[in-house]
Amino acid sequence: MYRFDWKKLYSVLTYAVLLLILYFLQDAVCPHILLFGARPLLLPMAVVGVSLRGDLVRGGVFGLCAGVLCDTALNQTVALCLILFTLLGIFCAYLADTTFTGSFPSFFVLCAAALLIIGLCQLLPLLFSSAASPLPLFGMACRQALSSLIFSLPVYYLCRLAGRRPRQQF
Amino acid sequence: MPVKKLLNAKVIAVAVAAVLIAVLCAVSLSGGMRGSDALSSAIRTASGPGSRLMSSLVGGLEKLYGYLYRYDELEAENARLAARVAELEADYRQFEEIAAENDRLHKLLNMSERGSKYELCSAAVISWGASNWSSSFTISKGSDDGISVGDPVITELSYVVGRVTAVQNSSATVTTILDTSSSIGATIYKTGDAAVAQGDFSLMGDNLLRLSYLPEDVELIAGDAVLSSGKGGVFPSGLLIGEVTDVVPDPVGSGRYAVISPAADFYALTSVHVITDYNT
Repeated sequence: MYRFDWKKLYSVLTYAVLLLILYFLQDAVCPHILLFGARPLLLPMAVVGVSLRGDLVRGGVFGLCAGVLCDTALNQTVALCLILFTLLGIFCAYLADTTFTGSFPSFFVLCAAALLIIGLCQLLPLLFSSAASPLPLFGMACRQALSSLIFSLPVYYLCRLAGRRPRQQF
Repeated sequence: MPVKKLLNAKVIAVAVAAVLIAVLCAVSLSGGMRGSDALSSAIRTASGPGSRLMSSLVGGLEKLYGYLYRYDELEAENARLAARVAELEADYRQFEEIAAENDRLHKLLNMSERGSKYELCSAAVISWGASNWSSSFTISKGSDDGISVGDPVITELSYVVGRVTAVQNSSATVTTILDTSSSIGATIYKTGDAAVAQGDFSLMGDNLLRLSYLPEDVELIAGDAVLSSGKGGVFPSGLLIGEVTDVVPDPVGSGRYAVISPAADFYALTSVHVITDYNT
């Protein structure tokens, strides 16, 4: 007989709420915050945080959903963040299984690396399509990572709060 | 073996789903006339009320902050603006006299009416794009109000703001003139020379844009007004883009370009007007 898995539903709802909160913060609050001349990105850090506490599928699915929302918040076509965040979620969950722990230092290091990679991917279209010189573009990628990392601690605790339930398959 | 985990069927399915969604979005973008893909349009529509609520909360907090910490600054600005209003009222009275005289002379000479007439749609700025790589914002009106992709956007004082690049039923995305994708046919008011006002990434952060393709013999000084020329068909002619702040040699090529400070105050924008139709 089929038994409905309430724990799974609870887990999905918790991550959905986390995603919505971070989406609205990214969409409506982050554009008003300028740190080091750049606006922070919260959603990729959430993908790292959730992936470190879940399996590869959960990391990938959360990355996919966060990517769609991040592309929308950045007013761009759903593509770049969607693919990057999905891969990020899968890869971080893989690293959590093999090398990294779910501690804050691991989270911080992975976030820094992820934000730099995202910044580099974001600057590529500008580098090739407009006559912009590379130096300001690379500078912006670094400043974006720095301004985002300032919010790493609250995002880490939000992800920890959402992932409190015992580990289970999505 | 740990690498085997990465080749799990479910993991591959998630990655393939991501690629498929991206492809479908690209297809829906190229197939439609709305400038945005179907998925982000649906999310924008669904999250519209939430975004509006969050934006009004943030706006309220910013107002409170301004009231608490920038009171003196705002008081000085208020006094300055009151003086400016008085000046403009005097100018307006003079303008009315000149316009009446102009009408009279037009009738005497049997000339047809000249000048741009716009059909405007006012909209509130809901939220600014969170991207550090582009300059865009979302407004509270969309295709239901007659707005379409490519429509020019101006302030209440007819300063150029940007153009509509994506439209949903009840909201639209405006890409500002600061964005690197932006390019407007411009005229230097003092000399009448044509040039092109373009967004530049290295200037975008300072709310500036560049005026390229300057004629070799043109003499520019700080404060020279730059207007839209109407060339290119997006913006009507005669709208104020901004004023020249500097002229610098172009690092690429042997020419030079001017740096323009836009007339529109992007930080203070709370509402804009979309030109849905105009005739020149």
